[in-house]
Amino acid sequence: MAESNEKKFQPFIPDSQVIPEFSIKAIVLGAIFGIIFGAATVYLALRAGLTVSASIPIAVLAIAVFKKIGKSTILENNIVQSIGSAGESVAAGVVFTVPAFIFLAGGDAFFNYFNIFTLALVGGILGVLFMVPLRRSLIVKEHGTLPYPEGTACAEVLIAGEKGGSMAGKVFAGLGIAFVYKSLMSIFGLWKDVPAYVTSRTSSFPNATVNAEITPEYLGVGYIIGPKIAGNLVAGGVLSWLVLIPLISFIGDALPTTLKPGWAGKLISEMSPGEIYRGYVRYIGAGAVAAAGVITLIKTLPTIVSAFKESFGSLKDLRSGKVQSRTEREIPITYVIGGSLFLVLVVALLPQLPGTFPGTLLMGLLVVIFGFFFVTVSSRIVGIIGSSSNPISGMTIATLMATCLIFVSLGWTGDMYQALALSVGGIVCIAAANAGATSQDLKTGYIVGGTPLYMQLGLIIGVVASTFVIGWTLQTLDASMQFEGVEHAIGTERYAAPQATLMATIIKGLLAQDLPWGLVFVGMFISVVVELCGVKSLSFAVGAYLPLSTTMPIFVGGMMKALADKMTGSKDESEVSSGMLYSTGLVAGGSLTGIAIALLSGIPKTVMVDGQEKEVSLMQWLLDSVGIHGWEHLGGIADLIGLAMFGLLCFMLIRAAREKFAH
Amino acid sequence: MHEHGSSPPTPGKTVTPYVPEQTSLKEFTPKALILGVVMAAVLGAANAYLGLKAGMTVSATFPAAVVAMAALRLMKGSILEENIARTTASVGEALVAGAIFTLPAFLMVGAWESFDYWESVMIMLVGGVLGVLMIIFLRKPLVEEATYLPYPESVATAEMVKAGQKGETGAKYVFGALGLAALIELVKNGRGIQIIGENMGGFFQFAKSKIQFYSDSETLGAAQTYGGGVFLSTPLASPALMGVGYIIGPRLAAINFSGGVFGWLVLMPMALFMNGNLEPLVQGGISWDDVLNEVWRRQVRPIAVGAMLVGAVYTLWNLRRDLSTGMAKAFKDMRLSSEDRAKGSRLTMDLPMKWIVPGIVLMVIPITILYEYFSGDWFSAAVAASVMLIMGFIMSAIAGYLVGVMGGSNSPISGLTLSSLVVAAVLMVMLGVSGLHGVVAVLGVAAVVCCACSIAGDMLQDLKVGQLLGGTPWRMEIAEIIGVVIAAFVLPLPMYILHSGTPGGIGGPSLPAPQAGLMAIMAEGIVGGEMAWPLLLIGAAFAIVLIMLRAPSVMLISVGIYLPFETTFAIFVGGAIKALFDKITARRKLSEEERTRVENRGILLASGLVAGEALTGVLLASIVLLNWELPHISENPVLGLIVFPLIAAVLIGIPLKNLIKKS
Repeated sequence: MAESNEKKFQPFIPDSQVIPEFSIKAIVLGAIFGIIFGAATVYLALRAGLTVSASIPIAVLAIAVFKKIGKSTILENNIVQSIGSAGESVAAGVVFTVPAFIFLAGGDAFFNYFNIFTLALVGGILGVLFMVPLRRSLIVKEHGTLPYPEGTACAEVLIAGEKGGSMAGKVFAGLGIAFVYKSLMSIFGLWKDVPAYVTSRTSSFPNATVNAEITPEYLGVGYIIGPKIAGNLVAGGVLSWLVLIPLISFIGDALPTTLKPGWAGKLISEMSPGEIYRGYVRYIGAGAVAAAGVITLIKTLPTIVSAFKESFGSLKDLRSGKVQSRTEREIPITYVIGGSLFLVLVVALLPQLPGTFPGTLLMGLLVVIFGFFFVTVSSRIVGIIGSSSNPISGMTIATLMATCLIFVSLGWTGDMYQALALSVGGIVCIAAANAGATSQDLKTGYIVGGTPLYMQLGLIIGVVASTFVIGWTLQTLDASMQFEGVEHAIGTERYAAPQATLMATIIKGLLAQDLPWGLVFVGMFISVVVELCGVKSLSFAVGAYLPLSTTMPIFVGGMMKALADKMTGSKDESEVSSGMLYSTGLVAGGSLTGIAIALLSGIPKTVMVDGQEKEVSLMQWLLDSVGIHGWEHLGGIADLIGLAMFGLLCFMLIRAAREKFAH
Repeated sequence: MHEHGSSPPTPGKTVTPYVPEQTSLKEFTPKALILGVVMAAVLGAANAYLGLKAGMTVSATFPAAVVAMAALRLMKGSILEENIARTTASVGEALVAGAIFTLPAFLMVGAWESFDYWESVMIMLVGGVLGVLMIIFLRKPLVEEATYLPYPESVATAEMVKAGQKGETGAKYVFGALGLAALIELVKNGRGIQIIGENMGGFFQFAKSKIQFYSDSETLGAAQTYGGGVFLSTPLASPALMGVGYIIGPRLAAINFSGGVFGWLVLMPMALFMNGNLEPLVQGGISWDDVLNEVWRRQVRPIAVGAMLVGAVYTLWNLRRDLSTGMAKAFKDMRLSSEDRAKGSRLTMDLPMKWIVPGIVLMVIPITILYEYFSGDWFSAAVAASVMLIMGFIMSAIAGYLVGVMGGSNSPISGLTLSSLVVAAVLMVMLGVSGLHGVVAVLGVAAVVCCACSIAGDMLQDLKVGQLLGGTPWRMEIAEIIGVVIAAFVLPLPMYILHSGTPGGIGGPSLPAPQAGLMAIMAEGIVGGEMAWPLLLIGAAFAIVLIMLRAPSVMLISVGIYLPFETTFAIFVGGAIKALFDKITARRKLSEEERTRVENRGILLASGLVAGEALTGVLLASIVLLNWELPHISENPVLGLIVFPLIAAVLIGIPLKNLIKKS
């Protein structure tokens, strides 16, 4: 049956044709893109809790780059896109879980480069390996039934890309504009970066806050996710900043004692909106995200069960024993099993990782069980509804809850087990995220006629290459505020890391019973309210958790998408439009500039202040020497100038979106 | 649809009236009118007592329908005469509801020394007549055009009336369910032979968990314990509310319940959590139930009013197309000459325009004079009159819409009145009318609007019944106006007697009139400059969040926040029963005809449940008026839980069981 299906489908490059595919230049270029997009994703996911699929922009860029440096085949381009896109998915999985170490009791010690590297590597490779036996059923056998929207769109780009390179121009244009805009704003300080309006706490609408961090990457993300999701996201932000914070300010105003958790031991009547947000609203947001994740998972449960059943059933007719043709060659199953066991043993035996030896074997076992289960689920769900709707955080929450409950039943409730539970959740999350991207890539390869073996090897190379930079980026960003007196930048408003904080909250709540239940309870029912209205709650809940300054510009991006669709009259949800590619450029450019700024913020520089030597960050020195900061004396007009500059950026995005390129 | 038109309307389909257009039956006869007026007086007086004492009235539509049916059968009257009698009779309760929610406030703020008969007559007359006249404009858009509105209580009434006709097969379902609901009401009503409690609920304190919290990675202070908690309750064991939920279906029931969840599981716990000084109150001997009640009245309900203000505007905005086209049609029809009217369909004819506009003017002149007497200057009086007209129209439209969505018994007249009170009060403050003058002027506007929207909802509910049965709109409208005029002169009498005959009078402990108390507090608060504006604004901001989420009905959600949790919960249970029913019928793979039959039976049963409880409630209330005491056995709420499976079995089992027998 499988064979008859395979014969029907004719890939773009036929089975019999052998052209250059797994070449050195393709591998090197792919690794470079993997590093770039991995780093950019770390930045974006930490700040906005969102990620942007990298396959299509990488495919477009690969075509353009190869055009400059010499010829390439479509299969080489495909390898570049496979290797490169692994960076994005691994980075997403890492950022959603690993920073939680910082918030766990005694977990700080585990937040080091070596551990981040190991967890990312093991999770990422397991995601690829577990996906190997599933390829036959998901990609080949069900070619007609599982659309894999992103993978199919990427194949279209690769096939069309042979004809023209104007698409890449859009990405580069967005990248350049984002770089210039963000440098002028954040380094030279030409205009205010967060226009804000806050009412006084004695007004009749106390502490109501409207603000927006007007960066190119948020605008681009909003454009890519579209008006609907962006609207839900900002609605959550409005709930937190215009409903909950004023409500807490009002009700808690007369409170004579401090109310925990609170902030720095202050009374509610003394707190600023930001302090109320960090002291109370975050817990409500965490409750909302947890409930939304579980609800999403429960709603996809029928799909999950059938996905697992069908995929597992098809494993039985795995060994066909025939001589394999080029498009059937893949990593042999013995290597898959051996490799997986080896990785799990590595995790269990490495002394640097959390836990002590015999106990860590249980951890390895849990990783295999949950990892394989959720890899199966993830790779099928993205086939049906696409990568952007993949409930990765819900799966991780479920894994963490199950792991913690097992630990509690064994009596493992000490501090050290918190980090152990997170390691399980982290690897599973990374594996599931990467499995989703892997299956999209394999779909692309199936359509264009790539060799599965090379793609799988390429994906593993992509994981290895990007993990080097992911850990580094994470630590650089985390250390970027130390000269402002903050040890960990992650967890502050600037790097909110919503998913990771949530994971820490869940672990602490279950293992140490260390939670403000009242606030978490309130948050959970906010998600229930939204679901009862028939609206999907996950993006709303994430929005409730994030600062409004983050979700507001994303919302503007979503509105720009709606506007562009209206102007061009296009209704297709295609991932390949000039506006989309330009936005990807904005995201990448803004994020990379942001990383550069964070890097500069972490480098010390000794300056002389009033004859005294003082250590500040290189970034601060730069700001003081080249920054213009004229707006600082302008008051309200500075906000308007900032908005005008952002309006200009929006205008350029719309103009780019209206241009058509030759398909 | 069935050929005899005896099946209930399905949303989205055209309605075939029970009495066809061409059939001419006796309709607008003296005996029908006299019967209606007498019933209006009796039912109105009974409800005046109930409303002042308990803050709630019992919908008079069902008792009016039953008495009219019985009486007219003895006098050999037609079904359309019954329709006219019921329309006239239900005016009494509606007008009284409007009056008792507002008129006692005049006593409470000290504007009246004793109950002022003539001012009461004037307010009720003007409000009532305006309510009828305004709803005439809205009949076409909200009854004829809006086939998506379920009108649960209108459907229930129509089904009951039809079942009362000879030879109707549906009768056994309606009267069977009616008997069951009557029995349940008899044993759960405190005035009946009470055996079961209506609901089980209580305050649950959150576990006092230890919290250690961090500022970045440093621990701050010692571990602290938490207070706070949540009020949880089972739904009301009310067959009527479950019947309403069943008729409006799972989607609307869930939307409404989402408001209940937000009010009781999000806002209430937050208010309790932040109000750390409530716990000492409880230790001081005040019960948690009392504390909860106060928090709900003083903090949560104003939030709901804020949300309703925005929700009302937004609902009108969404209905703008329906309303404008429907009203244009209505204007056109009303301008027809008498010859054209004779040619047109009997079923779509409203009162002619030449009566309506002079009618409105005739009402506005005396009320402006009254407002001048209240406020002390003509300009303020003119402003108050215009506010009254505009808010009256808006709130009548909203009351009509809500009757269409969830039935007259659940329409929050007091909430709509509070919304218009807020607008009127803000304008009075801006005009500089202060002190008692200002308070009284504000209450004057609120009282007229309250009567208007109460009558508007009632009129629309009757007009929908009329549409289902085949009544003539303009005859019903005249009957309603006659009912209003007579009720306005008669019904202040029982209020006057109650006030002077009861120790403490209205507002005292035996006749607390809670809604009027709220109106008095709000009017004094705003005019005196002590209003809790933040709560209103927070509510408005929440409504904006809902709009951004594209939540299906902002108004319905806001109403859910305003209503008691047990009420929305019980409606939700009804909706859930319908969802289960839909699932089972879908699984049975019935033919189209079978499915229609099964669904109709379900609606007939639900109609019986709604009618049965309402009827018994009125009967028991009149027993109290006669000072009879029925034996009181117990109020065990656990026994009350039996009602839910019982009703579910009736609504799901009976329609399907008979089907099996037949096939």
